[in-house]
Amino acid sequence: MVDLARTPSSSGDEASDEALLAGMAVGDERAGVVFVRRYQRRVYGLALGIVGDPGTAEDVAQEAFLRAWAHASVFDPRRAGASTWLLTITRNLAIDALRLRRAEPTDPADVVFSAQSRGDCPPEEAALSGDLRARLAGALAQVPEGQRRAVALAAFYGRSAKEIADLERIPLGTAKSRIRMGLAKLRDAVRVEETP
Amino acid sequence: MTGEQRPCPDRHDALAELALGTLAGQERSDALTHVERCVGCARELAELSGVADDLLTLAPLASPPVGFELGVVERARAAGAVAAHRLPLRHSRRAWAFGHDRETLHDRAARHDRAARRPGWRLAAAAALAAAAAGAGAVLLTSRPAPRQLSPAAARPAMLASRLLHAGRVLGDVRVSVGPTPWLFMNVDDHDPGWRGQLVACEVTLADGSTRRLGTFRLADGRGSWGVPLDMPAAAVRVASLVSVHGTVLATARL
Repeated sequence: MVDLARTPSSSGDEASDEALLAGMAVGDERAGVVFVRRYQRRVYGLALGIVGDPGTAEDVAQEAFLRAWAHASVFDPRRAGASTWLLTITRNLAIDALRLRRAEPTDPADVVFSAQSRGDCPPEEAALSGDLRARLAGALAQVPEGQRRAVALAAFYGRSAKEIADLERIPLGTAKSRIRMGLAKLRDAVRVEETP
Repeated sequence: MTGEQRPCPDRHDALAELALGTLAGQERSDALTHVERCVGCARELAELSGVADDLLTLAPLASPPVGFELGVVERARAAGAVAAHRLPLRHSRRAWAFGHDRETLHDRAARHDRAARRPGWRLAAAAALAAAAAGAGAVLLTSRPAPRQLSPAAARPAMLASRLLHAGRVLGDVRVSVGPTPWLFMNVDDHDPGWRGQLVACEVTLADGSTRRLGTFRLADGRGSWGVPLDMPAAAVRVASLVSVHGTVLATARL
């Protein structure tokens, strides 16, 4: 699990995500601002990658932060890091927005490969969490194209195996196999590299 | 293979789709039931879910438009999250909030599944209903509003939400606005195939024990969503039920 919870912000504020969320839960506006600044590029980037439209992505990203703010009091760091929690909220909202527009997903490769190819991971984040991120991206690059697309369509666009089969014009069983094998390869790659 | 540490070979497909939040209907229900009693599959699901979450970090970073953070703060202020130290969504022991707070493994998978299968227009539809609540009667939502109707949380009233359950299975959800113009919104998106095309009713049980039928709607194409302004305080509604027109309770949501 990538844990960005202790990632220092570019503004220099060193408060942990948990502390910021605790402040947001009691209405501390400054804590909210720091939290937004810390994650706005990641949240907006994910939203934009999924919905493909800047205006809709901004709506989605703002809504994601508001949801996080509204639920800050019940955030449980034992279950997931704040970044994981926030990105999952963002992904779900973006999928809602995508379906609202009845838009077809863009090429999944656009989402999953543009990050590392542009090298846009902040240095401080790369130092703390980018290692796993880079390893995951590297593993993804090694996964066969069909499996990679199937995993990306499910992970980023919430597409079911049936929808993937229709989009890719492949049998349902093939879609399911691609999802399973692709995700398993990623898991195995990360797990093996994490083993001392 | 219950009790062993390795996942069951015949569950691999389902576990991957469950981890990615894209398994639906009976497949999801079967998989969740199995995972709750199989240690090996539960561990596999946890690992795959972790990878699925981590994949989201691979999305490219992008700077939002100027004024983004101010927009968030202003909307938070309008929602009362800043000034009044009050959350827009009320939490109670039995209420299910739309955000993703404390959740079990089952909840997590169900939430992912809801997100994957829930047409986004329902969010906007609920907001549209809120706007219409002060005026006309029931609103049957059959079309998708424009994308820009993704409603700002600031304009969204405080809301109770609860799962619509049938024999322990989540079939949808019910939302009740607790604002000055209360309304109720019912989503059914995982109903029994035998109900297809069926005319159903929405009934509420009030705090005084009385039951009222709010209206009827038809489950078409496997799904149905319906809402109505309430002519009673939202707090008076204890249970919202999906009922056949003959009076058989099909599913209930406790608020």
